[in-house]
Amino acid sequence: MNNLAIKTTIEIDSNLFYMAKRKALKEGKTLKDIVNASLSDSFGAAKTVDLLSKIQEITAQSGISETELQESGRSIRQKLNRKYYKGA
Amino acid sequence: MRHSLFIDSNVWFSAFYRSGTCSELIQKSTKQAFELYISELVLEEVIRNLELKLPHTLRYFVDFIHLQDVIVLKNPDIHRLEKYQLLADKHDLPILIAALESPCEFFITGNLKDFQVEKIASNHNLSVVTPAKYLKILDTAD
Repeated sequence: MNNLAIKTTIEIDSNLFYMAKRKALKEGKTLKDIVNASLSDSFGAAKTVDLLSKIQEITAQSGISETELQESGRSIRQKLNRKYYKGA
Repeated sequence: MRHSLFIDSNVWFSAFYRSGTCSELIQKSTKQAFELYISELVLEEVIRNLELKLPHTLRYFVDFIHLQDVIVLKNPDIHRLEKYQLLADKHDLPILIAALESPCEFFITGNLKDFQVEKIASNHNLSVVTPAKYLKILDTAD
């Protein structure tokens, strides 16, 4: 990430603060690195869950049954095998 | 505990439906930052199926794969098939080999019947399990 860094003041739970400090010492990183990585992981995880929810929403609206989707997948797998492993 | 999981296409397809163990598994894997693996063949199968059946979901799936840092394993060369031929049905063999020759610990599939599960477990460092079985393993470990 090449974003600018912003300096701010926030209150952190003391246990979390000491855990982060310990982790930073153990990994030879700065406290800033640990806090940035934790926040980034947290938002990344939330975003992936959102993406899965969006897929599930569209799938539900489509009316396509799971059996139909699975059968179509199996048929595609067979075709791909014939394409890449012909003669095997 | 940070497991490395190979996710078969049938698990992805089931996860696209809200309820059920596959959806739970994929959600857990994102929250617990597991290492997820697929192979080129699984990726192509899922993409082609989405293009065909659920085209509006495709960009969300591609974003998911990127954001989750899913590792895409190369398809094995045709000459590698013979060595492993007794371990799985011929249509599943290239996918299994990709997982066997990677650092994956678990191969998650909804279709155990086409794999020689015990033979794979005893001769290789890979457990072939259903999503439900894997979630049980996770619960026991917690």
